Amino acid sequence: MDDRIADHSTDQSDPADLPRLPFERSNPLDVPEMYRTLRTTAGDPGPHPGG
Amino acid sequence: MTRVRTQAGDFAWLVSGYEEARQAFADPRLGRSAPDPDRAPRISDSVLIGGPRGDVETEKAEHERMRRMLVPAFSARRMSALGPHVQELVDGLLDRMAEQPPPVDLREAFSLPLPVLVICELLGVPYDDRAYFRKLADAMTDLADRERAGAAKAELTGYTREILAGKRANPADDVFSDMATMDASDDEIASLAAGLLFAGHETTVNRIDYGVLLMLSNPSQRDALIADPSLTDAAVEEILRMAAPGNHGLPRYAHEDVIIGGVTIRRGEAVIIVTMSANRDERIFPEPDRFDIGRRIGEQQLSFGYAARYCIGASLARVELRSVFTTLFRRFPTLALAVPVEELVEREASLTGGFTRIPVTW
Repeated sequence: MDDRIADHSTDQSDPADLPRLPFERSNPLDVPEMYRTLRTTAGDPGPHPGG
Repeated sequence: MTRVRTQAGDFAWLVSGYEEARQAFADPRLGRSAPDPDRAPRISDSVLIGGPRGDVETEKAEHERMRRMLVPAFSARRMSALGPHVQELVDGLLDRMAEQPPPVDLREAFSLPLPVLVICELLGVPYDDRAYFRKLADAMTDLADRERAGAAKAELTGYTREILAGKRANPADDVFSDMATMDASDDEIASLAAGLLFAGHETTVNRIDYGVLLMLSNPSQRDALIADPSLTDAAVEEILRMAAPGNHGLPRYAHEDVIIGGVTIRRGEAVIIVTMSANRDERIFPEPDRFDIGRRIGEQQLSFGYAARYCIGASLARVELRSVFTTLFRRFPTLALAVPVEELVEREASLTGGFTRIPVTW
């Protein structure tokens, strides 16, 4: 497991720092807030052509 | 695209954005099998989606062969033809529910029996066996007891193998009779049949429950639907977009290096596509947490997947959900939860999630 991370050329994150699944949600009708955080911080591919 | 630790403690790439999720679904270099299955990252203890499945060399051909065999049985045309009968089943179940004094458990009275009835008739499975195969389906989704889940999966496959043997002797006008004559091994057909029986009802039950809860939590949307039934199709798509009963993603493994969303995924690495997150991507769905049946999103949501892996039962699920949401609130306009929503008990140890009961009154 650690080898896979160490070998990875694009990411040298400390495994302990990585978010761990499953993410908690406050209400079963909602999705975990962490997903919103990740969507807005994990790169922006730009708006969808279909709007 | 983000690196995460899975429930099993291994590393995976999490796909949380809409466009990246579509790319991941559509890329043939991402599959359910892993190049080195013994060293592949584990996702969880689930027997269904906990790790890799199948063989890298044969997966694509096997998947295409399976779809060729099954697509005609689940075609949109055939499912539309099923619509009037589904409506009869909906009306019958609601008639019986209306005869009971409230509060009634909606899950027990309606949202569970409807998809079970439909899938039994479509596949040719005896409805009288429902308690037996429902028990197995429940056990298969157990995230806390892998041994129990594995045994249930094997038992359900044994059950479908027996039914298929019966269909060979006495064929009928149903999907299992068609499958019984497929050019494949008995084990393969039985496993496929068990998958259809399981997936053909389990997920729809929860979509009905979540749809009802979304409507009850947003009375203006419920009232709009009652006033204008032509909004039903859009309401169903919005329910599918927002209903997220299981807090899990769909695993894939890179068969070679792949770039998704500008990130290089190395051969053998795991990818988890989270459709519940993609369906709330604010770049595609403005104010994504607002339940709005007036959105004009067509069939853009990703709850059924995308491209070659698009859910084979999507048309069936839509036929059922449209019938349910055309009828339920017209028939029970004062339908309400009989307990505060926070008192509903989640099926937390279940892969497919949902609630144990939905007590309602009217």
